[in-house]
Amino acid sequence: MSDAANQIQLRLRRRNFSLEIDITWNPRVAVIFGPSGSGKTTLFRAVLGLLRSERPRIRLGGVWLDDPDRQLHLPPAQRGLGWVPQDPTLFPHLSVEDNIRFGSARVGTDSGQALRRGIDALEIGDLLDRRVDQLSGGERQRVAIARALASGPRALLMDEPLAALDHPLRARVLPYLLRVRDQLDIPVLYITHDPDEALLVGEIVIVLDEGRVVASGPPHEVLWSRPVLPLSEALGLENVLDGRVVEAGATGTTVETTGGLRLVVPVSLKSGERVRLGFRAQDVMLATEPPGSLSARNVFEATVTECMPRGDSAMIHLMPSRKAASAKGAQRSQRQRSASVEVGPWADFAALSSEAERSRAGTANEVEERKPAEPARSEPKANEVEERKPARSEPKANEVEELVAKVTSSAVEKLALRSGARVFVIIKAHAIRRLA
Amino acid sequence: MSAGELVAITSLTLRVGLVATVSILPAAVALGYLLARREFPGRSVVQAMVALPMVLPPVAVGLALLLLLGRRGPLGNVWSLLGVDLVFTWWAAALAAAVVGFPLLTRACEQSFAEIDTRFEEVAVTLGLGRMRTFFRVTLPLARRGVLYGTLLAFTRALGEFGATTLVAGIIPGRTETLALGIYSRVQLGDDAGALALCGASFAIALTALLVAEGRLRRKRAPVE
Repeated sequence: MSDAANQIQLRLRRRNFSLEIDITWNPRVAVIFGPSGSGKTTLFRAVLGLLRSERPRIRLGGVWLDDPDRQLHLPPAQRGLGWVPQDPTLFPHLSVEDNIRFGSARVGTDSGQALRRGIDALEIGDLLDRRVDQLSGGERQRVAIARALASGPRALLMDEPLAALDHPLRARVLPYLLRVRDQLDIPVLYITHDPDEALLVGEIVIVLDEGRVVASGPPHEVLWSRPVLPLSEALGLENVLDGRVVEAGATGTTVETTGGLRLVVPVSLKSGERVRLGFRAQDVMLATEPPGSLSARNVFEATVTECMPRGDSAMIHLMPSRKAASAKGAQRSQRQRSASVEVGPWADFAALSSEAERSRAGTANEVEERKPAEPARSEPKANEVEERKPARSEPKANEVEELVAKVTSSAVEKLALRSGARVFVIIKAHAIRRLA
Repeated sequence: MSAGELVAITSLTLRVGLVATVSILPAAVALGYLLARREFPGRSVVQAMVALPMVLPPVAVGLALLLLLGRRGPLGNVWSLLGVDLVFTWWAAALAAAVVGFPLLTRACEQSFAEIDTRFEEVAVTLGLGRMRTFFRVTLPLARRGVLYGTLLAFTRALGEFGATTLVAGIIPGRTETLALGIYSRVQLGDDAGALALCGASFAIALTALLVAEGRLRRKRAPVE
């Protein structure tokens, strides 16, 4: 058995849904990341003891809450967990102060101190006399966090604490969250479906999809890994490439990716520096002829390997040609197709991931994938997360990266984007973002 | 009708109403909570049984009570062993009022418990409160409007109870004669002035009860989003 500080192992079956979690981790602040319906909140409820699960084995911060071997299953009231539900759920019949004090009885003699700390960290001292319905959304969320903290919890469980807030408000509440996170020395579990938040909050990200852990590890590694990419739609930076700077000039920086693509990026970087780049789908364009009149930068010839319709759009998988570093050498092949240049199908999504990414995930173990469908891949205890720095091997010169793009279905027809079709891929330079 | 008589009848009526309402309150709250929150076998049977006195003619309820509690009834022996003769006392009037008020109060409690978001209770439990303390510190306070409303309904229903009361308590002046019974007997005797005086008293009590409850409801209205 592993001696990691935190462990969650449980099974839970419902009519249309099943949750099967088996994971251990050491970092104190863990983000549970996944799309809605992936089982994040259900997992929380099981950890809180509000939902009965099969043979749960749960340990947080080294403290056992459930241990089937010892017949230990603490009832919810004795688990000592600080829960911040998705909707603050403040008691409407109590004042702010009474809300915060609600759970402080179990802290005993230290209650005053715990209370003060929470109130100070969240800067809600002025709100104590208010009624709950006199609070703004952000204030409610802060009070809910303070209430959880004042109960002297063994661990803090926050369920999308920012989800109910609009964007400007999120930016205002987030600093409090981060402050609380840094002042605590107890395990923090933080649910979000926002990759930006996951990146900002977590020391480790545990990715859930359809009730299973599909990946876990350091946020930077996990959030853009192959199994997680499709889940990261919200971020819009599903297109991720690793590379190194080969040219740092006045007109722009040129990065050569591990697959050998040369990308001009709008960021100034030092020559030789390693970078990870990401860009949005609407900034990836497809055409059947080389776009002579356009800037020829960031143009690649590619072959469609797969076209997967999805409603009124489609996922286009592309394999860039090996020697295609620019459009120049690739003009002849497209003449027989009569279609004119189409700069059209810039739907709001295109995923692009690399062969390199895939092989790394399998071999170097940076990110451990656990897909129940591929049992051969996962070791029995594959979820032990190690925060080792990626020992990235020198990329081979002509390694080819597969691109996946989402385009409108009308563009699929116009450009005849069938498997085997050859197209030109244009990536707008200004849209490329540096990720790491 | 003398003023003393009026006061006596009014105070007896209030006593019957209060005793009836207070005695059913704990059971109605508990049953309302169970019906709102728990699935158990026979739940709908219980629900039907609870609602029965509400839909039956009160006289039928009274007859049932009489048969049940009378000297020869199955429960009559119990009472006589205890040395209590329930029938034709004001306790019987209170009992009749309690039986017809119980469904109203239980229903109101059930509904207000059902409306409470269970997450409030879940949060309370995770904050370390046991089931009972969670009920008294979260569930009941959040349901108080419905409970109060149900109590008022049951109380006013008790004040006006007639059909069941006449059978189990009779109309015995000075002993079981409540306002409703008094009005009836005075009309029968042609004492219109007396009947009207009792009507006025009923009116005053009902209005006061409504105003007090309304005021409390408004003041303590929960700020629910």
